[in-house]
Amino acid sequence: MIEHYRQILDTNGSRLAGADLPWMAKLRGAAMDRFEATGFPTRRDEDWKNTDLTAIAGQNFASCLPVAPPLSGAYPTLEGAHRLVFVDGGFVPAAEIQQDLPEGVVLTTLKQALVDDPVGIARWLAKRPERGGHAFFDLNTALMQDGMVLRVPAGVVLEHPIHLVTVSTGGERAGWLRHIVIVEEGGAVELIEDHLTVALFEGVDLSDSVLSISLADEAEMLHSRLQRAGKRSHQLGMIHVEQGARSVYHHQGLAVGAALGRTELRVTQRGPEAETQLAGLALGLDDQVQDFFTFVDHTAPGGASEQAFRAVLAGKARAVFNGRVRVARDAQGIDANQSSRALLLSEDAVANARPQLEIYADDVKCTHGSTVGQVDDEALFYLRQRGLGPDQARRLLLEAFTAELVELFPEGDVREHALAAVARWLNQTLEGRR
Amino acid sequence: MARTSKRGETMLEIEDLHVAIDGQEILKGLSLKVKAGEVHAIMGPNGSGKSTLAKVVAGHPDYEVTGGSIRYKGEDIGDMEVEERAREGVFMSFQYPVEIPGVSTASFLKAAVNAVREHRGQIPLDAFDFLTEARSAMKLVKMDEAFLSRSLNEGFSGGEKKRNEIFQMALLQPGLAVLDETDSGLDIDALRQVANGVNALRSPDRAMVVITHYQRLLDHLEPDHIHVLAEGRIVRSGGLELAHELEEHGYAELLQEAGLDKAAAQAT
Repeated sequence: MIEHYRQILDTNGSRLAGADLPWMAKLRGAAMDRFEATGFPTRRDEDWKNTDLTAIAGQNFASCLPVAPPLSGAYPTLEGAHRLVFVDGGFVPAAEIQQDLPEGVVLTTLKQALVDDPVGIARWLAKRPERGGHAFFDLNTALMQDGMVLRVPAGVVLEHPIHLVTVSTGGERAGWLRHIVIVEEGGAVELIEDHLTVALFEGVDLSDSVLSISLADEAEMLHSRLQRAGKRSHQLGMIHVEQGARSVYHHQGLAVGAALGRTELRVTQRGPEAETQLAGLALGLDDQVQDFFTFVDHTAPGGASEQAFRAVLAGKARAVFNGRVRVARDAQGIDANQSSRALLLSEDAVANARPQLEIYADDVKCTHGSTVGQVDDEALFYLRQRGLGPDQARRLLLEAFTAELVELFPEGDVREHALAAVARWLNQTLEGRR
Repeated sequence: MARTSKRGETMLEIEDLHVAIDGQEILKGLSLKVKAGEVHAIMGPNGSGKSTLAKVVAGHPDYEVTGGSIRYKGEDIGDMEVEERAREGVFMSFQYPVEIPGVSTASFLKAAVNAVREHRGQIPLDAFDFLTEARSAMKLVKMDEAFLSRSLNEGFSGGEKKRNEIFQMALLQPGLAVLDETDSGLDIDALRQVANGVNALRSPDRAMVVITHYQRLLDHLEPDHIHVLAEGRIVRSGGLELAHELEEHGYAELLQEAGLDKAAAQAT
């Protein structure tokens, strides 16, 4: 219910990030006004055509309730990574794993950043996406509890990856997190977002996060996102990236958990010759929905973007891929490729793919391809003819299909986590078929 | 559990086999008996049912046996799944080996060898022992070890795919090998390599059925028996001279003699 969220803001305002900053109160109020005016998106909205949100809209998610966060051992670790943990939108200081960070690097919470340097981050919070701003962005702006702020100074290459763990706990709770990553000229960072559930309470939950990334000229960011939440979780992640000249942004996501998962990637290449690579693997079963939404906006010449999205779906699961590429009139020499492929393991599974290319420049190379199919019967026959059982053969083919995407995750712990999540899903799914 | 075969044992016995796909009858009363140590060639024009024969022996799920029987080592295998037949020792070399991107040849073959070994009550091979076996099998078809780390058949040339099939046969040591058009799409050198591999795998306890449209592979293999398949049945059987007769006069004449005018007309 829409009024419910105004109430959360009115009663919890003092507990949210930047509570004593008047401009923050104003920002929140304005966002709440917009949310009240628009309400939740419906399937009449182009960008939400294939994703039903009635389950979220019909729920009054609680927020800012006190939690006794689980002990540190409940969270995943990555070798050598600096770990920050948020549970239901609240930072858990005891779960932080610290690494020595180079001088000048700022890694803190949004709450702290709004105390230390409110002016420095005000403009990142005030920024709305040019197009496609919607209820979940506005709600996030109105209700953001906390988040991570990372600033990498010019020329600094962060040796330790940043592991950002977001935990939801059930109990009809929602967490609203707002993260900011700023990488200055020539800086480089690896970020791993990890979204999971530690089911402390019965019932559904919602995790709504906005991550604003600014990459200056020649900055580089490797961004992995593991969404492996519980099956009653709703996971909405909005990622807004601005890229300077010759900057590099690589994103690889795995969406394997949640009742509903939606990852929005809006990337604007502001400077020339920027490189963007977006990849996502969705695995769905039962009546899960996994939705990837991308918008790559080439506003400067000489840039490249590669997009690869894959889905494997069983039961009544649905995967949605909306892939939009825009090439502005002055953005000549763009190389933009997009592919989406889905494998359906059951008759009731559905894959929707909608590539949208808007090209206003004339010297560009843009391709897109999209396929939906089943496991190849002839390949199965071939493998079985050599002695492999049907499950083993099917598993081998599915592993091969997913491997292409999993191998985009950086070698080491991150890829191991991704591989393990895929393997668990395959076990569950192939057993379910019997 | 699979048992070893004895010299002269009947490995494959097909009796009055009728097979249909999508309701259309392809094999119409085919009979064939192949003993251990023997190599039989099945020749025939396109559309005669040669590939159907290979697939139905291997147990392809799309083909329906509507009559007759297939016995392997005396046991009716008509109700056995593809992989059960394979583990018992039935091997089929594919006319078009499937390309499977993302599956390395090595990991697939290790899984295949161990599925067969497990079925035979043998200890599965570890990576080291597998590699040792694989290396010696690869020598037979002069395959480079680099193929093991490549995706299964992906980007392989026609010759490489066929050599890969014979390599797999060498590794799996089947009791019955059905080679479906193993010569198709090969140049003379590749054909010789494949034929040498097949010859090296001839053994007193193994039976082979070689399906081909042309005589040229048979010149290298020198089969013990040749059968001509037309309209879903074996219409003539003989020795190597039959292959030469076909080479000289073509299928049409032979089919006409057999009273198969329609097939003869199609074969010309």
